[in-house]
Amino acid sequence: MILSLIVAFVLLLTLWPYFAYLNVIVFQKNTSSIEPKMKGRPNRRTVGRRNDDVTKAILAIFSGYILICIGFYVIPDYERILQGEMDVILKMIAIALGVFLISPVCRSANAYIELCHIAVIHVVVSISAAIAISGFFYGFSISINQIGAVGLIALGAMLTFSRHNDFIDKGKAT
Amino acid sequence: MIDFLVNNMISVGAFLVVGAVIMFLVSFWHLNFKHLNKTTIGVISSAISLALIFTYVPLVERIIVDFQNEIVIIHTLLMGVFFVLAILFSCFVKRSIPSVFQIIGPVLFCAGYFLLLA
Repeated sequence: MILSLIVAFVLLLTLWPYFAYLNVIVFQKNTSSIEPKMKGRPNRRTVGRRNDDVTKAILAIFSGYILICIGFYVIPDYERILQGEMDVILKMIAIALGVFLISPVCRSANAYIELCHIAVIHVVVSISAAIAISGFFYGFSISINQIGAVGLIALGAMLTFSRHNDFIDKGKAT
Repeated sequence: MIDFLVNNMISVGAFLVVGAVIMFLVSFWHLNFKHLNKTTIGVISSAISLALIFTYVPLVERIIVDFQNEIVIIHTLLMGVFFVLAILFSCFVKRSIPSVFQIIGPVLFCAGYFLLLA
């Protein structure tokens, strides 16, 4: 269980180096630069706020997937759906809340990153959430082979969309 | 696991694809609808996502009964189909030539799935 939680945490953390490589998250703050279209105003939005917004988006999507995974896997009794039992209502509430959390932050993140990068966040974060939920509620201990497989899937997803984001470099000067 | 998937390819595949399409829609359909505010988007997406329960959850039930605590595998399968949809959509929109790393990426992605299911 502990190993599963550690793997989930490490998998989640890999998104920050990925976005730092894409120049979306910039750790070196340069507040002395000026907004190109607003003379005299410090360039906070493109340096400081971008990091915060993307970080908030990743964490909100992770929280949403935690709720979705709870709905999917922790309350798993589909037979009762037709009988109108309470667990179905709980499941619906958990999934609806999760998506309600995810959808708006996807659009916020889309100001800085593109759809394919949001898809990478979804894949990595959802696998991380599934491992964490599986470990926490079911005591699932992930094997070394599964760690390697999940790592390859995450790495493959990141490499597939590893091209630098031209929109940010051209449209929002740092 | 692979035997199970092969023997139940039609039912498992149908559930996975429909679930992934719904996931894709609720995650991405609104990105170009700037005239809707965030709360409206959240509410509409939540309403659509409830259809996931009736497609994906039966599959989860079956997997959990047959393969205890292997929810990581089936969830990763769902997100794999979801990610392939994103790749196809991105290729359709961008129509750009992929770099070498972008070709290695899907290979590693598939290798990861092979190891996970083996």
